[in-house]
Amino acid sequence: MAYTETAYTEKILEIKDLSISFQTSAGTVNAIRGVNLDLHRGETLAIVGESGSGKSVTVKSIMGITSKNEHVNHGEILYTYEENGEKVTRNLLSLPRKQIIRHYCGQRIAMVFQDPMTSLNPTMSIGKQVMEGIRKHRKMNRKDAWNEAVNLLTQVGIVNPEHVMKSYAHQLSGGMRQRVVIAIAIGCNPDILICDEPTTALDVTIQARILELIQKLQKQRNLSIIYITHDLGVVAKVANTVAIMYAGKIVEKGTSYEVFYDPKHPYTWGLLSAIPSLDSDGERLYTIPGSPANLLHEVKGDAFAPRNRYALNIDFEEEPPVFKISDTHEASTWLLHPDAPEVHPPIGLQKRIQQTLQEGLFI
Amino acid sequence: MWKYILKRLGIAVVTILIILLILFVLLEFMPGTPFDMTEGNITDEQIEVLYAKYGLDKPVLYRFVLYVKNMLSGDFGVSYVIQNNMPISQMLEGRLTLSIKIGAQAMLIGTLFGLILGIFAALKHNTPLDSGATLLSMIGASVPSYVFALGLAYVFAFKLKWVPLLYNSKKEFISTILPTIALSFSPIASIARYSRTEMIEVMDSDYIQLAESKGLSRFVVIVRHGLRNAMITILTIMGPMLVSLMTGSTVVESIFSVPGVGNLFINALQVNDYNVTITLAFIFSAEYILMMLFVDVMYGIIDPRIRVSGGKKA
Repeated sequence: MAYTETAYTEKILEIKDLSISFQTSAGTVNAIRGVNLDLHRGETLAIVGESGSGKSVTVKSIMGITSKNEHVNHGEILYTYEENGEKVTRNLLSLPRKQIIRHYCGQRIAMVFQDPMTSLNPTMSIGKQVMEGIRKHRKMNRKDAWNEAVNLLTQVGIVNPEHVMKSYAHQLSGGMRQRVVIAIAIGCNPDILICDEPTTALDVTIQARILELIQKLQKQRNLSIIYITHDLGVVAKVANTVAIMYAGKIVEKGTSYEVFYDPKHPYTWGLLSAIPSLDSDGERLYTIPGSPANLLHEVKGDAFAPRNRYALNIDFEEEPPVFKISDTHEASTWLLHPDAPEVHPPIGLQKRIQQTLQEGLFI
Repeated sequence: MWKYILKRLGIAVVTILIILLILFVLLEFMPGTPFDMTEGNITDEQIEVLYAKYGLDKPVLYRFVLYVKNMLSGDFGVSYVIQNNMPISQMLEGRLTLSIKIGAQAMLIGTLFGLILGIFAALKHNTPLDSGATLLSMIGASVPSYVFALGLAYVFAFKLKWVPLLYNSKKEFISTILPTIALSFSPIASIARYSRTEMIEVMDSDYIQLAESKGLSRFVVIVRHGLRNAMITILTIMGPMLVSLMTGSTVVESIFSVPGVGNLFINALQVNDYNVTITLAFIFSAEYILMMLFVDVMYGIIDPRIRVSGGKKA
């Protein structure tokens, strides 16, 4: 639980006004509608949102993993890294896919997928899969790669690495497989690690272990991590910065302290209110009414307005701009406009925030 | 693994014996005798004499035991009708290897082009190129092989004269080219269809995304990670397909007058040449059973999840 306000100054990844749409048989789906995000060296950024809000699409576009019907309308993904002692900034979206795969994927940017049950090749031994990336990018021979792979597996906490190297995915437990996937990801010393719901498919007891492992590796290697999740428990545990995403837009962004203790956007209020707490006296758990916005249709005003009981008339008319609350905290809701009526978070949430501020634990 | 293979071989032997027994019984019920067809009239007494000569007057079970005993020493009996008194083993020698050779060649071409076509269609999934490849394989699957055979014979043998029209034992390889190609259309089509479906599914899976995110080249991702997983299903249809190709196609053999076993089998059935029929049926079943065993062993090699227990410890 780290709310320490370390300043992260070295910007490593900058997503600017990213817009992505998908061509489907039903029409064009505007999945990402102008996303702005920064990632600093050593920082952990969590992107939170419900299914279909565009979290995965956003981060996969960083790695050049795109579907055939996907189209980037506009935007930039600027990646700053050191090459031969010099700082270089590249727009990943302007590079050909081949070049991204050859020079960035695996080496500088690596990814941990959601389901370790399906993300390892069932017909290839674990050793081969771990060694594959190392041999390709670090130009190692078989023997060195083998030793390095054993070393990596040890680092991710696998007890008998030599044995696991010769095993196949089906012989390992879910937690072990996710450790292997993490070993593969860190194999080529990336700068950025993208974790797409890394613990969702795991047993609750294993989840914490995997998160701790990722945190440990982050400290050792000064990794910048992007978590995609809809589990606010994970966010509270690991994130420095939180971005709340709804219908292809970042609706609120701030340090995790700001987002958890001083949320501004009604959607964030809804998410936080929907966390079950241990000491509720048999109250019904809060749920956000309605269903996610259908992005097949042009969104008029604020996409969240139809589900928002605090919605103002203007929410249905005009898209809210981004209001800055502090240097790090911003939210896009008309409620922050100087002329807006004063609206406070729901009473239940306020109470809960007060309570947890005293106890020092949100979840 | 070896224990498993031995066990499967044991089962195979029993299966073949049962097949042989069924064949014996079935042939017993077939109308006519091997000697109806001999030219001129033949009296019942003469037939009885011939029956006694070849031991056909004995009960089925007795003949079955005798046959199996002889078979084990490599004696498959003699042909009664097609080539009088010629030992079957001698009769089949050249024909069997020729059919197997043409069948295997057709399979090789079929697998190679089928996979290429299928993978290509899968990667260009839902584009005009995919539709084109699907159309091609549909044509391959629905047009009978003799149509291709006739077309090929007309163009390459009759018009262009690149290859001999009829089989010529002195130019063996060049003579097998047309029959091979004619036979390969159907495996190309089936394998293309299966590999397309499988590859589309496999390339959509998470481990392919992981492989891509490792920064491997497209080729490595497709072949090492994609194809190997797709092969598990494709292999299932390849075994029986290879056997049906190797047992010879009557029509294609007729068109190119290839002295293979496909024609012989039909002929033997028509004229009640018992020993020829039984030997060929035996060889075909043995080929089939061995191929299934081979496929099962291949599964184990390709997919560690199906690797049979009792071998190496997991």
